[in-house]
Amino acid sequence: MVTLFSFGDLEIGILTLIFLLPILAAFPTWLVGRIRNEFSKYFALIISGLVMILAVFAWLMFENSSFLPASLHADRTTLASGGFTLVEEIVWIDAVGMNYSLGIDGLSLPLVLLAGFIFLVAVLASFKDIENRQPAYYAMLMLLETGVIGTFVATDFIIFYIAWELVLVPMFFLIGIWGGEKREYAAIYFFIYTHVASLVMLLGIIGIWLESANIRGTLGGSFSFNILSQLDFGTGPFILLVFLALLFGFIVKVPSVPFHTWLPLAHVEAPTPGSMILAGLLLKMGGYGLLRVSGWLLPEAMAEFAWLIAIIGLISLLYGSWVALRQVDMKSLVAYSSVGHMGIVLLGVATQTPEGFAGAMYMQIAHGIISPLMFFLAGTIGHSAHTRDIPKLKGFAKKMPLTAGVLVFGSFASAGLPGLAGFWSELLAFVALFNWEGQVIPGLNIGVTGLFLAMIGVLGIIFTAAYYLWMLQRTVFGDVNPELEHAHDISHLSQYLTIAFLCFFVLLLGIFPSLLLDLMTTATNFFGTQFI
Amino acid sequence: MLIFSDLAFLIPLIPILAAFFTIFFGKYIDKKAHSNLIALVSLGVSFILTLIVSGELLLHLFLGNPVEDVTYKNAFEWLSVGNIEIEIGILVDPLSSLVSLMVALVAFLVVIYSRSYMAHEGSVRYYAEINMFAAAMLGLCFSPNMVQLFLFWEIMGVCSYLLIGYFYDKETVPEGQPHPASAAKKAFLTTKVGDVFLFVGIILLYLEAHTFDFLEIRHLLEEGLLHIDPMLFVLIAVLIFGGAVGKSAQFPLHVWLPDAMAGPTTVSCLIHSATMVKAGIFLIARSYFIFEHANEVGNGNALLIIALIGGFTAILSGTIALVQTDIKGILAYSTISQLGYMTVGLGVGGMAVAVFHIINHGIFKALLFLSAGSVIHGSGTQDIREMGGLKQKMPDTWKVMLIGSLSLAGLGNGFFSKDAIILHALERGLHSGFSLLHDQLILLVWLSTVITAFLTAFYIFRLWFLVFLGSNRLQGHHIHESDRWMTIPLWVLAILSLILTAYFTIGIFIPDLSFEHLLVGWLEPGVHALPFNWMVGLTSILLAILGIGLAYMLYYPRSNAIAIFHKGDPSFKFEVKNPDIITNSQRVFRSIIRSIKISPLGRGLQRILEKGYYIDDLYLKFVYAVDSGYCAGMFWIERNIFDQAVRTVGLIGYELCGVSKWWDEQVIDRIVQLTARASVALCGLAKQTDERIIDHGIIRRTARNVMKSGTYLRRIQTGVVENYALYTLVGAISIILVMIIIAGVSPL
Amino acid sequence: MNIAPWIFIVLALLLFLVGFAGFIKSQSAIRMLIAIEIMLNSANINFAIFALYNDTSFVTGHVAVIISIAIAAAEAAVGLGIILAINRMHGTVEATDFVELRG
Repeated sequence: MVTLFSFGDLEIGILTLIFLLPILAAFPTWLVGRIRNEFSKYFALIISGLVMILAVFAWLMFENSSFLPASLHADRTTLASGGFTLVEEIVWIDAVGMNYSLGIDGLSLPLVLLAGFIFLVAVLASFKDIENRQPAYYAMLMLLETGVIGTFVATDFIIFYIAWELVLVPMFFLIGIWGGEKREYAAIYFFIYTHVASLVMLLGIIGIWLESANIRGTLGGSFSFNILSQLDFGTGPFILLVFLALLFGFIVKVPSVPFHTWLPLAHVEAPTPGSMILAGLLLKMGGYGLLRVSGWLLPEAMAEFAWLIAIIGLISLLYGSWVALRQVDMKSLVAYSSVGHMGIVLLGVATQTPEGFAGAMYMQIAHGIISPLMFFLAGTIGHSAHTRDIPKLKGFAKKMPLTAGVLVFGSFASAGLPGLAGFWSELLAFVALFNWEGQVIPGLNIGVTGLFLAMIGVLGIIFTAAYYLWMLQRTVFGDVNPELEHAHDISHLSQYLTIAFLCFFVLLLGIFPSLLLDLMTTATNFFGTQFI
Repeated sequence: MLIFSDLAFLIPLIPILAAFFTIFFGKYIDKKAHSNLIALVSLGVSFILTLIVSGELLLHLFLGNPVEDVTYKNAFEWLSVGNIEIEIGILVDPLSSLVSLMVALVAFLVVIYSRSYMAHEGSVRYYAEINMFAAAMLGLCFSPNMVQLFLFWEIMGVCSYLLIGYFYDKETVPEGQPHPASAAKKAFLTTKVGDVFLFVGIILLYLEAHTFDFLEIRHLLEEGLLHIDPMLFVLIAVLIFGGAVGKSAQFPLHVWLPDAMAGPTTVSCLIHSATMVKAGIFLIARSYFIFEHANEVGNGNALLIIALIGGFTAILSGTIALVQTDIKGILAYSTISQLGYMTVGLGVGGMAVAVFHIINHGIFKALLFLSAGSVIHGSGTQDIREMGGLKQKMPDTWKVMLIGSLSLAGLGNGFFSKDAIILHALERGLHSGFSLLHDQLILLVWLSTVITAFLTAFYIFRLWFLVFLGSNRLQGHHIHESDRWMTIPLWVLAILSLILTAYFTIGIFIPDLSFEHLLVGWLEPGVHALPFNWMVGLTSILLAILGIGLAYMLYYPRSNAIAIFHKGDPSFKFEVKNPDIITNSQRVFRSIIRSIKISPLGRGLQRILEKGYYIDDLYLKFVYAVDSGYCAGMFWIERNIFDQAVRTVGLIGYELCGVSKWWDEQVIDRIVQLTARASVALCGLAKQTDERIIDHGIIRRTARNVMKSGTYLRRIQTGVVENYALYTLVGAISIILVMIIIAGVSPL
Repeated sequence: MNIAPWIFIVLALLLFLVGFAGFIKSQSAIRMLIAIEIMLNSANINFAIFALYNDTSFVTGHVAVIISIAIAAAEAAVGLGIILAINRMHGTVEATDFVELRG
């Protein structure tokens, strides 16, 4: 491993730093906020900026960039065989194979970068949005950041689960304290729903440990991704059950139809930066878990259930866009669009090919940038116009020209316009899906073919364009609604910066897709080899 | 061999950069004309570069160099994942250079024209979008692969969306016209349906050919290396054609184009003549080898579908154009009809004739639209029933519009390409080599093109007669000729049209110079062009003259005649003050037509045509049904099933909690309370022990003893310095003694 | 110079006892100060003698004497200053009058 600092025998690597810096900063954030409210937001900004810089640093190390001295270069030899790099491992409870171990690979690094970026942007977006109880708010954000990043960098199921659960707590308070009118109901709904799913996932984790103990015999069970990925779990009935339990945990988080009902409620009630993080990162945790489990840990079991994942993905894609067409609240429209877009992730995974993996991954990142943009706009509009109801926002382009322009941009990006980030994932996922020979659903004797699914799936593209354009027609265009007299355009530097950052990356990833795709090459190829 | 071809990278890039530049800095530059200057410079430079690139290539071709030598491709890897590799770059060949030349010219002229036309309504946004729009089409022309083409294809769709919806904040629109915002949405969604077909077609083709590159696919097909199931191949061809149907407004998806006139006239001009609708035809021309191949393996079905749709669209929209009263509406339906011609050309004769018509149509339709814009600008209305007599007021516009109308009617440069398409349709219908049914259907298409030629001449001269001749029917508006910025582009196009007409006419007599023959040689090497057929040519000229004559009989108002319009009255009524000035034959003819028109059948027909065969309403009903039926149903399911399920589970959980609450309160709580009381009693005991023994006994006594010892010791503290000195001495001595006794250290 | 070192040590001891007796018995603060100087000097003698008889190249003892003298001078100045201040405050320099430190 590459050590950055060492305290005696204790060696601290960059991942630990990224992982633990926010949680260590959480209490100081609150403390400086007690001196003066403003301090807490600047402190949080500095910390999240620092985490972002560290994440970029980790990226440079991962890439063996020539900017860095050779001593800081990561060891990339294990990546091709599904291993991790920049690994940090401290023995914790050896008896049950539970270690504090972190690491990244082509699958998790883009998400770590995304997490650093989205938190930075979310802190910026909070500047104008959050006015009461600032110290506690920013402390919660910092806590949340550790949870999210921990999920992505953990290479041990226990650390993974702890981080996964850690996310719920600050999110619960973010929705419950700083949310909208029905915030308490939404917070409890969100917490219980996702927590129940996590518990089912925990059962799956325990199940996989038991099975690993079974296979390894005297060596005992293990929670380590590295060890588990080398075991051949096969497709026994127990491991299929384990896979289903894990799958349930993930698709609730993704979320997919029919386990998506928490999402619109949480999004509508959460404060704007909370929605941004929810859509930009929390949903990605589900997709990440699914990719990790299906590609690294249980590929055979996943191959058995590819039909299920594909059908859930397809239904989510279509259903999300149908329901979005009928939404009145702008935030809830974007929330249902998330359901639809995350369906493409499932479709990409189901195809079990490098192209499908790349499409799913690209959608994770692209959606992780575009949906925060859309939520930020919806939140800003709601803040300024005092309503987010689409019929009441008629003609707001007159009052808020910049916001309206960016809304048009974001809508097209979300609808998958070529040249913007969303397109590549659709292209890659659909190429893979058309190419998938399909699978016979066991017991029913009915086969699903990729061609058939894809032919239905492309309808989703039309519906996506339809609900966005209809929303634009009813909000941006037309004669201005007299109730919007007091509405004013964005004016604060933090808002400009938020929009500029997000739009820039939407464009960048749209024009230079290889920036992201090259980063994941090793993971993509490994994913492909798992299913041959 | 080609020196300047790499400049083609800059042709789309400059307007794209200019578009971004305009968005950010446009408001500081050329404020008076809303940063028109940036667009002028960028599209001007782009046009000059296109001239250089295309000119060089065409020069080589004129000099007789083979097409393979002048086809230039330069591309870089864009992305590679798994087996997919996508490139980005340029492909300069005769097709891209010819079309891009026309596009760059029209775009440049439109920007010049906009300087005056959009002086009041223009904005920075407008010029940024125009730049992007033109750049998308130019980029599409030079795309070397399907993905890049699709990218520009979609960007163009978005730009058209933004430009059609340019007047988004209009409060009211004239009756019968769509609101710009809804027209824009309709345009984007309708073309999106086609785009999805194209998207699927591209992917399916890729999965067979494993490449997106045009040249590579072409190579594979020509070498016979690609073995695709014939049905699948026809499907791919039809799917790609589906994209063109959407973009080029062919029959099932043509509904967006008439609505697209809600945008500024300059935008309509770009959409109709250069950019948007030409993209579809260009796509098929670009991938024509796929269609040819699919046609061979599919028994002629692939191209037959294309020809049928084209022929149907041509006559369908030709008839609708007969009854339109909006000047832009007529031109819009004429565009659909002409696009139908191009599609027929692709379906029956090969792409060279279609490309020939793309170029001709681009020039005369740009001319017509820009003159229509000038008319609207000058008269302040779009309804031809309100115009009339503009000839005296607009000395330049009527001339150029006449040139454009003649060209469209088939007597100018438009004649040559249209005639070639008709000739090809006839040829193919007579000797195709496929089944009898195929031949008969193609002949039907031929018939439709011939009838449409007649209709075209009629409706365009109906427009021209009503707009420019007679006396003005619009009172109270100051009618004026447009200024130089608008008339110069018009004259450029008109003169270009005349020059082309002259050049093409020479080509009839000297086949070596015939542009059509050259085009066939460049675009489809190995195919022999059909020689000019006097029979077919004269027939179409005759039909055009017939159409113009009919329009003259019906719609030529003498200067003293006053036309009267009633809402609901199906036709015009000319009230003539002085009966002498209208000829007897015209009067008789008109009364016959009028009697037909007011008969129930005539009225019904008129109604159907005005409604565009109710296709629009049908679609609207369908969309409405999907939205308020299907999607609303889904939303109901969302609310009442999924959400309810979660709530029910929650409720059950809550009730279970009630049970455990009872258990808690009645049983557990009691036990806890009992335990607590017992603990309290125990604690009392402990308290007593504490107070009596520990507190009083041990702690207080210790404290008292400490106090007592303090009172003794304080006596040492005398405050007298000498005493302290004595203590010091005693201390020192005792330390020494202790050291001596304990450690055995001698002081000496 | 064959004088035995113990003579000097006895001298120093006597001198110290003289100073000490003076210090204890005298009433005036000025006299006490003088007595302190005497005790200091006896210590200085010790330093010098041990330095002389131990090792001639070993100059630390001499240096200590010099430093001690310098400190004594400074201390005398400070002491006189304090006495002056006391005199100004109480109008007397009799040591037995100051018993404020009494416990």
